[in-house]
Amino acid sequence: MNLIFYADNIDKINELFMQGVSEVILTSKNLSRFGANSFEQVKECIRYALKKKMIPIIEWDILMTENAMLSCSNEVLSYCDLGVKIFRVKDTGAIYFIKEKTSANIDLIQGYSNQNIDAILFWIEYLKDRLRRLIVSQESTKDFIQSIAEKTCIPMEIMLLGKLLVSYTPRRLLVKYLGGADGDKDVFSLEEGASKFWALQNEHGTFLFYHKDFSLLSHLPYLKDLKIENFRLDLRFSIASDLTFDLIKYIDTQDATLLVNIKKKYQHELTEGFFKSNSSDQVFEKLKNEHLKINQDKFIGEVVDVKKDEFLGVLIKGDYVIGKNTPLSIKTPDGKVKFLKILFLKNTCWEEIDSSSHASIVYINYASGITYRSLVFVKD
Amino acid sequence: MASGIPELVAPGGSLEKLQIAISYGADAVYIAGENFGLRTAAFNFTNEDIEKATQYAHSRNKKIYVVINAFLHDKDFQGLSEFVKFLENCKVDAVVVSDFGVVSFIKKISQLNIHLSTQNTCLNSYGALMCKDIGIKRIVLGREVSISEAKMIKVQSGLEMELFIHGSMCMSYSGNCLLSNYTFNRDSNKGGCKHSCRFLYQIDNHKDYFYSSKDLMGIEYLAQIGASNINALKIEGRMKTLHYLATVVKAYREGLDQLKEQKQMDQSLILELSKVMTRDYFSGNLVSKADDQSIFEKGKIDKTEDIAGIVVEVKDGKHILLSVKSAFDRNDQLEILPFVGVAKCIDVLDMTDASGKNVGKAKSATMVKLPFIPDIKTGNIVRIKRKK
Repeated sequence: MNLIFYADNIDKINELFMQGVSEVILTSKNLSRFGANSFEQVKECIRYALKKKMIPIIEWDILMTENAMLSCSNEVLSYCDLGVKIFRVKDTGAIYFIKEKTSANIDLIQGYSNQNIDAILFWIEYLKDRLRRLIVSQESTKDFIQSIAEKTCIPMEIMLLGKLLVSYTPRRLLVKYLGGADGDKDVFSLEEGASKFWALQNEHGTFLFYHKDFSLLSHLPYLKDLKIENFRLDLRFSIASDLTFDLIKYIDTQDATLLVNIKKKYQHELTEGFFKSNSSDQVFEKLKNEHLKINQDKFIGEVVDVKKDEFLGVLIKGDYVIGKNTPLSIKTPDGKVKFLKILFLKNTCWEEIDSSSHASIVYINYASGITYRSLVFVKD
Repeated sequence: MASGIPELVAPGGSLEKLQIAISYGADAVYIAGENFGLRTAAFNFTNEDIEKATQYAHSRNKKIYVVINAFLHDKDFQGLSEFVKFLENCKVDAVVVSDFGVVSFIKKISQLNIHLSTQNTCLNSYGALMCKDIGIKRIVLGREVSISEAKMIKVQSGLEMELFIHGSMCMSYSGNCLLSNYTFNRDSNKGGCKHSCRFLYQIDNHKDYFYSSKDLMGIEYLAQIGASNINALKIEGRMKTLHYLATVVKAYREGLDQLKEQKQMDQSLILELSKVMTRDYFSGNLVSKADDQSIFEKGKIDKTEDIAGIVVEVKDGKHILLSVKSAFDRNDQLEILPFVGVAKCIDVLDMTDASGKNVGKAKSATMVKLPFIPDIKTGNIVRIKRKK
């Protein structure tokens, strides 16, 4: 089993090394959303990790427009020159850059998209042996993870503990509170849902995190059964300082008492997101009025004018027309059906006519209960 | 001097809106079928509607793009194959797709042109080169890209580039927001966006619409866009009103036509766009990076002028039949928005119902007859200009 942690200094890398961790994610402030290290600091970390025979992985997850991409491409190439062989990437441009401009391999951040097997197979086919690993998103259900395990050979990495990012904008939106500085604020919705978030502002924009953190620690046995071997623990925002050892021990032993202690120490509410089932995936009630759907044959048109006790105006939209003797069935927007015998049929010049023509408006006698946008059919 | 006039791509939320968009000058209209799109609440097109829409557009030498821009889960692929084959038979001009799984699926079973949706967040030339590798024809760039960057991406990739030019903006990178998913169990990337970004929030002791973006307006930059050889400009808003659609499409059509004729842009077009403004406008990222100044702090200010209705019939020398959308009376002045040229004001002196009886007040959801006026066409939008 392979545990992956973030590290931003030599002491942390050394601590992880001492715990038997073999892979570290390094974050540069130019490439990683929450990276704080300069190019020189990252280089120092790379050298140290390599010296310890660890695998340094550079995270490149900022979504970049052209100018930003151009300004950081040399930095990426420099990391390759130092011996970095793995990049964690999200942006399609970053994926292409690593594939075409370097010989490094890719740990693909699945993200909010790529939630179907066709997408996973697409990336496997496109990147071929350059794709080392799929970084499974927190939005993937266990069924989907199982499906990937069954239908592909791609190694997966699952986050077991960490923050849950729900929105990301390149705009700095907390300037009013923080000026141009990095910082964070608690945000409470005053409208429907009464949700709350933790908002973080840095030079790359503003990030909204869900008020609960993400944890699949209690599902570890299931994930191991799927032969998943790579697990990530993201403690970058954790206020508990001494969790690393406890987590490594829990993952090794799966001791339930240890898990209780970890959750207590973590001091933050936890959610497993959509792991068990994606409740947002259910087809929610369609917001449009089903009664306004044309689901019958012999559609004539739609009521576009109503004058009580006098007339109904009908726009002829369908393949059928109205003749003087056409029996009508009219479906109102609230679902009621009325039958109507035509007493008069007139055109918009208020002249008697024998039948309507397509795309014209005709007038017929009024019938109570029929309202604007009712649908008109030939009655069988 | 302009070197290219981009295609104007307008939203078609319904068959009626599609017709209005084309009448007012759109070169192409994007529509959605009943599934696979991102606007579940919109009155999406049945297959029969798509067929009619395509025939209507093609008969006028216009294009139809069908969006399949939801991020699909495995079970959502049900029916996709049939739909794609239907669209190919229909000869729609392209499909607009977000998900690489869907792109791959469509490529395997059809020859349809594929445009990459803005939801995919393609922001740079390397991303565009990847898209070129897999046979995508056009990229609808992320709204974070500037005009000059779009030009570079086009030059580097050789693909067609489409830029959003007008309308509402996600505060988040499009396709990268899960606010609705986690707080309302509605998948924003599958048509269930709850627009939580528009909510009022509390930060410290302040009430704040801090995550609500102003709306994009790029009409002042058409010359710069023309010089950049951008292929298409997109107007947001399949859910927006007929009034919005007609006004915005007409303004950008006229702006592009002036560019084509190498004329200075008529500044009154900006005034026209202000008539359908529901939030403050800003220039997005077109020329400089949007930051905290792009927050729309007021919740909503609806500066939209009322629409009186839409002309549904013109009988030469006899009458104009108006489908009334908002009530007005004989004391009001109406402004008719022609497909081409300046708006025309009329007083509502004579007004009758369909049977010819005088009416003092036109009620919404009815028809009224107005005296015949030359040059007014079926489909013209009529505004309530002002109360006397």
